[in-house]
Amino acid sequence: MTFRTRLLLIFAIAVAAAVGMVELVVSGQAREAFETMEAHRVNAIVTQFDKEFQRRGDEIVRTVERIAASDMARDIAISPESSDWVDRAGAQASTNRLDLLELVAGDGSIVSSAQWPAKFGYKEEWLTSQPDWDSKGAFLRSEELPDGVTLALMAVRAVIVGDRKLYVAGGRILDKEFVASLVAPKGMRVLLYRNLAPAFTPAELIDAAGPIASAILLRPLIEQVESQRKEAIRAIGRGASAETFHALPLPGMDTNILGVLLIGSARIDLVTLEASTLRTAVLVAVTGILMAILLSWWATARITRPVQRLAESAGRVAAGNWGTTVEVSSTDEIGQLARAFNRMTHELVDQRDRLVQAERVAAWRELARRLAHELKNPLFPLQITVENMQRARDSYPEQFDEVFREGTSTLLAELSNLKQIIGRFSDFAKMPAPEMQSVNLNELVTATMRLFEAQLSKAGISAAAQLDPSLHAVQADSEQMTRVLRNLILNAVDAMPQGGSLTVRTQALGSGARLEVSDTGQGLTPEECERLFTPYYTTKTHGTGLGLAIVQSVISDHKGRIAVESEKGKGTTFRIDLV
Amino acid sequence: MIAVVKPWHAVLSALLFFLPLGAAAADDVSGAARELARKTAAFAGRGALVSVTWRKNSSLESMAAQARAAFEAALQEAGLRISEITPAAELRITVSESAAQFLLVEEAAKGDEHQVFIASWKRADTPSTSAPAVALEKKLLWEQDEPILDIAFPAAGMLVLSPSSATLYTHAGAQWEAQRSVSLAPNKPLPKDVRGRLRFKGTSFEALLPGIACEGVSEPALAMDCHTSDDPWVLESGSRALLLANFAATRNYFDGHVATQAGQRKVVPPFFSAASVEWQGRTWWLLATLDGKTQMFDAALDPASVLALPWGSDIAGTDAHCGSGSQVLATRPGDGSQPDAVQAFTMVDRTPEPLTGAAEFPGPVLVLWTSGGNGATVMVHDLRTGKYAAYALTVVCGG
Amino acid sequence: MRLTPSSPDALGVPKGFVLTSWEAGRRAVFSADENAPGGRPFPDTIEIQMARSLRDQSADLELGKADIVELGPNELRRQVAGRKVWTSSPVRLMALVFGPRITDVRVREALSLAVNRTAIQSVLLQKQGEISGALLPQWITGYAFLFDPATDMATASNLVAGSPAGQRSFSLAADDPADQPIANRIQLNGRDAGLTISVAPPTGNSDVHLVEIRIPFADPPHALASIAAALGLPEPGPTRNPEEAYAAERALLEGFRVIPLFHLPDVYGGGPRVHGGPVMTPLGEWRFDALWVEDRP
Repeated sequence: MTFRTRLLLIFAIAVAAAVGMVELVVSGQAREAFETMEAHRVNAIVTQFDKEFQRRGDEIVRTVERIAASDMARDIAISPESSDWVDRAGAQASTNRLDLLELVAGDGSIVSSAQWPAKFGYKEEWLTSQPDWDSKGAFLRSEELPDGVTLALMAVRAVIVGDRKLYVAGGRILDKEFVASLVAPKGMRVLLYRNLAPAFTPAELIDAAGPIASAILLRPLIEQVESQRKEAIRAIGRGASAETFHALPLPGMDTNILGVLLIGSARIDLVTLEASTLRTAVLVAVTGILMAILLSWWATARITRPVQRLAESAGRVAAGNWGTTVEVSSTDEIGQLARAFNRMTHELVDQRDRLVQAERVAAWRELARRLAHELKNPLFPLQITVENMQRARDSYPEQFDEVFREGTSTLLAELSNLKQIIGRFSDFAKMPAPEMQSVNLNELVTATMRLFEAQLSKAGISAAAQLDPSLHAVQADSEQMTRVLRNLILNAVDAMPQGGSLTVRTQALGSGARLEVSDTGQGLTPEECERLFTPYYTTKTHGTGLGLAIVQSVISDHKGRIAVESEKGKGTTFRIDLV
Repeated sequence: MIAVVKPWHAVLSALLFFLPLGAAAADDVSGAARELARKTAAFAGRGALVSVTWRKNSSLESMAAQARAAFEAALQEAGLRISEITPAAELRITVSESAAQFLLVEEAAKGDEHQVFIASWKRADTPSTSAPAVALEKKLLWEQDEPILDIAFPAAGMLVLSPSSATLYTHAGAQWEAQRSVSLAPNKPLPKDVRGRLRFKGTSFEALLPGIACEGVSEPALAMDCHTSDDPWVLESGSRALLLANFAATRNYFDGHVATQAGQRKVVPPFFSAASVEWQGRTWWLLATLDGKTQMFDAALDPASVLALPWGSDIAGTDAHCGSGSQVLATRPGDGSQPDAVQAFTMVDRTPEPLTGAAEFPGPVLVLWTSGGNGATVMVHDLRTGKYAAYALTVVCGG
Repeated sequence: MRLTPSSPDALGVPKGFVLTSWEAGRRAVFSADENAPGGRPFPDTIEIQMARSLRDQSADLELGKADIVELGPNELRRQVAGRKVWTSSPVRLMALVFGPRITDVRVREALSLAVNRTAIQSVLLQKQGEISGALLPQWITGYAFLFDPATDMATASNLVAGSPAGQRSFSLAADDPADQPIANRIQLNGRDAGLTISVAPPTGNSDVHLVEIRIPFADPPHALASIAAALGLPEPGPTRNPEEAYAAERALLEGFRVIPLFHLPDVYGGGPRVHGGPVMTPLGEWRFDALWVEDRP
């Protein structure tokens, strides 16, 4: 991920997080404020309902008391013939604006019923079961009518004349007119569920206009109130049509729940507010993100581009172009960084140059030392031999011939040795380009190890070849690769003077190959590993130190890589990867 | 019940083959009883035991007694025996009537088999008694604009007692002419629906009104003197029975404190009118009580029974003995707004039964006073003319 | 009068009068027949207004716009004390008549057992007339008491429970709107037995009708034939005696296609100007000839 992208993401996340947090806080506070306001309005409605309910109940009680106190009621109570009064309740109900009115004799039999005139003579046991009606106010009751059951607010009074009794039971139906009388503020509505059937009946959920559609949505709330017999609150619906409903149980005389009053408070304002807040938040966030993009673009322009240039320059430095510099176009930290980079690369170059110089000097010194060492060895015997020959001519003329013969033989041998040394150096100096051909490394390894069988056996070294059968031929110079393998084996032998184990492995690497030579010799330190491939660097007390340098040179010419792993006292593994 | 109609229908259809053709109404109850017994014998089997229950019909009790006797006799003739123990058939008999005839209706059950037999006889038969036809004779005595409380016919002429006065009339040719009128002038208003009574002893008379008693003479000239009084009234019934009864001073009825001829004081329910009746050699009193019923007392005024009779509030006893027992005159129940009628009744099985047709009057009967002998005086408000009329009503036992 | 006879013959001519004016469905005027047997009737003319509801007739009587009116149970109860009332013998049969849809006899019998006639007669009919299980009244046949109109709700419920569900719901209409309260009460009685009865308006088609049929004859065979024809029942065979007449009537009531409820009298009320009477025979035939009317002030 680029810095620009990361920066953009950071800006965007920062903006979104900030905006989101603000939106949440604002929404939360708005909801809280809304719910507080809603609770106040609901309480007002509930208070209004209670008052209206009470008012209606008192009105009904007064009306019933007025009827009970009338001469007509008294006459009916003492009348021996109830059939004369069968149609009185209807007229009285009409006059007194009651929906329901029953005049019931002391034994519970209906004398006259306004709401069901045909029911005369039927018993109303619920009236006679209550000992004292006069102390009771209005109450809710489900009342059976010819066309169904309804919910009514009722009051009962008893007329007692001597030993005769008459019950006057009157009331008004709680229907949509009643609901209409409960004025709700804008955004709120009042519903009444009349619990008149064993199961939930959608048609009994009414508002001021009558049964409401989608009554089924309120069924769980209503059933909860019915079962728990206490108020409940629930949010119904989603989105703009969501409402919070407060449901209040309306108990009857014997605490059964006859109705449920539902006060719905539309959440549309809150939803609108939340939506608006959200929209604003989204707008701000988008704007913020756009700004973040612009900012990041600008920041990129100001920061990442220089950093990128720095990175590119660093890459070029890594690639070897140590003289890379970057343009310094500001005085801020980036500019400082650029200048530091330039200084660094300048230093690097200087250091590299110095290093190269030093290494070159070191290498020349090493070469010179080794050369001196190498040359000195054969030259010393040459000098001694010549001195011997001089002494013999001078002191021992009689032995001069023999000495001359031995001496010249030694001179020739040493001269040959010198010639070899110079030849190796010459070879290293002018190693030829490899002649690429298809080489089967497994066969090369097998052949080379056969050459060293006797030497390895004599040195007490067990040799093993772990060859990958799937290895296919690679492009390589067979002779040079043989030399590489031979050098490595010789090094391994030199590393195991007391014997050990030598393992040569091959492994297929895609289209290339891997060649490993492992020994269980004395191993190398990390510092020794670092300098191993330096020409003339050797840990041996003898040798030119050119072997591994030649190996490295050959591998480099094959476009391959060579690495060494070693642990002091455990052994060393040389790994060659050819592509 | 309805469920067994089909078997009934089938059996009945079968039986129709065996019924004599033209089974029309019998001439009398005996003929009907015999017809029914014959059908029963065919159903139950000759010689079978049958149980018989009689459904009560209060309006035909006397008829039922005769029918019962006739039917039981006919059953025996038909070879059936009546027994409540293991009867072969159970019979339930009802004496009924339609507009045209009387019926003996038998619901017979033999095991699961049910059958209905009906025998009828013509309605012209009056089987209650074999007495000769009894009639009521009605005669207009006097008519005036003011209500007539009572009317009497002393030797001097006709004394008419009204709420305001007593007036003596004498004959002037074919007409009655007022001779002298004496004002009553009560010191307090008389109650509504006021009643009054005249009792003559020779030329002296006593006039009784609620809370007022007047003594007077009709000869040589009408004179009368009234004073406040709470003395009991003498209620006569016929010419022999009488009762002393207190009249409520502010009402139109007797308050129930009475004394018998033997001097026994009793308290009975308040009543409008009273009549004595002779039956089975004993005297009974009938009181028309305020609740519209008629209570029957024995001679000692101990309660005997309460009768729910179709009577009004005015009854009067007579000396008429058409058949066994004496006759009682009674008005029809009404509210005083319609023409009324009076009928004569005789006791049958402790219940008065009509003996005559109704004597119709052109208005409501206001009061019925026994006049001694076989009749009573009827005071009527003639709705046609608006006047008040007094009639003499007599029970005539005739052939 | 409530009804609207279709012709003068259907209305009937009062004895001693002749028809002088006929406006079908509105009014008929009869004038005294100078040559009537038994003498000229007292009234000069009789005007009969038709299609007046009982309530309107009662108001007409109160306002003096009518001298004689029909009185229903409610109107009878509200009569001013002292007014004249004439009552005939029970001459109208009130009955429930089933249409063809209700084929299950158990349902029909259940309704017969469920109707509480006593309550209806006592309250709605103000004790007018008599409860009856027979087509013809007791005063005509003398054996109407054999048709026991028992109320047995337990048996009715069992019958309903054993009947097909589709037959338990039906509609009931009172042909005379004045009988609507009785129909409502029958609906309630039926509900108690498990029947679902809906009370339909008088003009609609319904499964059961509450009807009033006039009995025009006092002799049982003619009366039964007339009733059977009016109720759509098969013509009864000839009967020679009460026993056969009873069997014929019993056969007509088998199956409960017709459920007799009451026998009702004709009841008339008279205004203060009217004197004399009664205004009808026991069979309900008008007798205006013996009436006399005060002149209007």
